[in-house]
Amino acid sequence: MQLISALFFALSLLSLVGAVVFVAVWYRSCRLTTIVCRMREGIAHIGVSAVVEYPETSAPLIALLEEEYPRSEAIVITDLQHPLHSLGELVGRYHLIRVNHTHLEGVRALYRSRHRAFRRVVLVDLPAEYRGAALDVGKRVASYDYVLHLQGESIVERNVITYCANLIASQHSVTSLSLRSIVGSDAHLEKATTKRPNGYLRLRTNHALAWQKRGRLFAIVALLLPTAMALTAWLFDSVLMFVSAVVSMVAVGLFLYVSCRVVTEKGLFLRLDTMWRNFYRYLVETVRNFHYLYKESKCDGEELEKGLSVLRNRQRRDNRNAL
Amino acid sequence: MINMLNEVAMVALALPMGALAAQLSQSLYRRCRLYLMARCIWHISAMIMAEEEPSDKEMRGLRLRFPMDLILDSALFISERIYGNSLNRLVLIIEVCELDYYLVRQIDRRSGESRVNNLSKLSSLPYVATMAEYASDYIESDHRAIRFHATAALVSARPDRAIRHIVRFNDSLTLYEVAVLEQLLRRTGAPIAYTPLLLSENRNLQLLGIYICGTLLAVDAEPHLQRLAESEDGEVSYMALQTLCSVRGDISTAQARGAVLRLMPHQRLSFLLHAVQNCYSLRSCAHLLTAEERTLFSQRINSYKCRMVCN
Repeated sequence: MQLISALFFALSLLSLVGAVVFVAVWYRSCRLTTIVCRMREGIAHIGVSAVVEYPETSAPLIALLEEEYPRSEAIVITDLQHPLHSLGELVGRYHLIRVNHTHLEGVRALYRSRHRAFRRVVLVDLPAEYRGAALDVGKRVASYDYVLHLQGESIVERNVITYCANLIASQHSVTSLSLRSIVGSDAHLEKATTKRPNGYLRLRTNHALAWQKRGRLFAIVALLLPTAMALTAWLFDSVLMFVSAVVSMVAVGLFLYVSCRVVTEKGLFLRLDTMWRNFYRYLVETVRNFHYLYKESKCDGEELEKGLSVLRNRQRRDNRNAL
Repeated sequence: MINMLNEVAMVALALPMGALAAQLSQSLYRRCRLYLMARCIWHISAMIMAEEEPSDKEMRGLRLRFPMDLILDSALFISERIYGNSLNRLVLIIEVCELDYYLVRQIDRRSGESRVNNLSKLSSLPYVATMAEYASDYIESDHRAIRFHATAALVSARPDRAIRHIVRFNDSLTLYEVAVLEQLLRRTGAPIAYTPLLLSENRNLQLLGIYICGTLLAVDAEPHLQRLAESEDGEVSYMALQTLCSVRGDISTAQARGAVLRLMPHQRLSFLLHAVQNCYSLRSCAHLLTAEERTLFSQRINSYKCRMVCN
């Protein structure tokens, strides 16, 4: 029992150290933001393309269109034939026209706006089966060097792209850089024109409760650990375990506080709402992933080929209908 | 045992509640400040737009109604949005309310990022040339950002001596800093002569000259940009090449070709994207690119064209 208590105590101390580092990184990126993020105009050739993967509504696109930075664009990747996502109306609303997309594998159609006011809007019709290649397609469509990658219903805050461009311009060389999460959940910025590590800029958001791919596991551990410790302390009447539970709760409290401040700055209730929505999305995505896993295990090579040929035929038919 | 459980439960409840209380208080503070700032901006705007010049008493009244830092932020907010003779009245308000002295006191008292912040505010305040000499104390600071923003304040106050101050700044300027300096020079209304900057041997001045050419789309600076594209400094060469592209210059020359050959692979691709954005045809870029890049270039160009043929 003592060994388990000591182990839990070490774990809780580790989580506290993690929380302190998290706060330090956040504070450092706050300072960086106050020093460099002042330019509202376009900075030389630096431009940022925001890629939104499979949003369910047009809210993320509308948030991106409010961006003031001149060298920016919003690329929405969606499956226009999906029964639940009704983004087909975007074509009419933003005066989109079909452009050539023969070099993009799997893409049904590529739309750009012909209206001057919406010249930043790009819509990619990519079947949901190619979801894994969405970011790659986004990079190949992007007009600018840097890609801000957003997933689902992530709604970025105002002037996020301006901040990103300022941070990029304030670097002498292309290095990795911690960025205060001025964006919503599930967002990261990377250079579109390269895959090489030495020419690679990655501005990651550092908030654990935003349910990023790596952050999910960590967040679950952070929530389950104090609960387990409190239960064990109650069952075995251990003081060390009680101290561990309190320490880990302090750590979780720090994470919670910074994450609340980081996720969005719009208001308290919106912040709570964002956190709950993230949690809900996490649950839904987990169930959905299991569903896909189950489907893929039944799918053999022949079925895949058959599916692809069906997709190709559908694409040809779409092209014919478009004319 | 039950006591211990109670304590754990208390801590478990108290921590999120504390976090939420902190959030709420900060949110309330921010909202109050925004409300006050909106009122302050309204008062200052009314004074600026009034037909008759406001009296000193009226202007000093601002200090009684609002905190000094809020008046300063409001004045900065307005100064970014007005120009011409309206600025003179704003300068009057700044002098009567002694915002410049307040700012200088803040610069002296604070350190680190706060000092940087205040120095950048000093550079944004209109026509405070007398205050600029305070910024010269910080030119030799150990903090790079303080050194730069002190230089920016001096450049803003005395644009006629801008070159001298930039030369005194020994560090290499980043693109962001060049953009800030260019914006300050543009806001002061001083004539910007980019040719001496482009002819200079100083790297920072060269970068500033190239940036100004890009902003003004100075087509007549093309020979200088061609020359700078050959520069041994990678950053200057890359910037010159991109700006040459922005001003729709000739990129088929030997200098431009040499500069493109020296680029890193990701910089080449970035340049390619920039060329597509600036409407260069495949023929004009073909000799700069490899076979693979040519394919990519033509695909990029085609992806901006309306689809006419069915496949």
